[in-house]
Amino acid sequence: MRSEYPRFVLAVVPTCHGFSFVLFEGPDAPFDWGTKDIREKDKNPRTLDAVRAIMERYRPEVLVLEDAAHGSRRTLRIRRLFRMLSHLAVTLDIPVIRYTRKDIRACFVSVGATTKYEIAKAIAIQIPAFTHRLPPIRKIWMSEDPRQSLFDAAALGIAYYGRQAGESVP
Amino acid sequence: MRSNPPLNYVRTLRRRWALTQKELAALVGIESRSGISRIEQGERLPSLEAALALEVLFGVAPNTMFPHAYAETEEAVMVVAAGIHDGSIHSTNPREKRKCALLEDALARATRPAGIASV
Repeated sequence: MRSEYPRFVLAVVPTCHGFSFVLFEGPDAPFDWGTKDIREKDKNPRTLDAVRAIMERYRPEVLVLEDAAHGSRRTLRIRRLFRMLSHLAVTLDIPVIRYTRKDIRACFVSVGATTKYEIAKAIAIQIPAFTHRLPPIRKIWMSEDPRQSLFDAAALGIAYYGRQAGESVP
Repeated sequence: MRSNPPLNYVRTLRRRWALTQKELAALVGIESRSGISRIEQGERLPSLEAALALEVLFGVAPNTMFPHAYAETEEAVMVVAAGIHDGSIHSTNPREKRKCALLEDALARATRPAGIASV
């Protein structure tokens, strides 16, 4: 049996409820994706277990995370989780790539998308599988829709491919 | 790292088209959603009827939808084909020559099918 797997790229975005992930086979081809709620007080160990299961199942070529070091306003728990995820990837011999929100916006600027919603909309156009998951525009009094994190993860993956190709949006 | 279960594109295609496991099970004639779940997880292969129903539904051929299963089958067939080919390659019998032509074609075609990304 030929054992080689496709060259997967895994993008993970932790949220206050759990995490979202998108596993890409190519820039326009997500293989698996999802949003997982972790209903425990200490969410990080369970999140780590769930991400480990995904990594061991699919053996991604690279893990793409948000860069929480430079000007990010992520909570201490999430920052700690980013460090744990990076460590996990290193132990599984998977390189970690980090992009700041500024990097992501720069990748999508060529299609006129700068806000999170505009980027999500651009992704929904690029990847029809996500079209039906596009959240409504967030009003200032609304909290963020849980579906948004899926698009944030997709944006990380697309930014990775864009950077690899030396373009803005692939 | 433990060996990974074979990948297939059933879950990807189902979720791409916003179908639930229950809906897909009903569409392809599988009794319960757990049957679809087992297929998606690579724990079992669909029956011929279900594989054809998946092709009818998604328009993706089974060799593309189940690349690992296809590769396994292909390899098994090719091992036997290479043996038969080697045994009859020097024959002057027209039937044997005809057989060799088929096996050479099959051996030449024996490549891993393209994934969904390139379809």
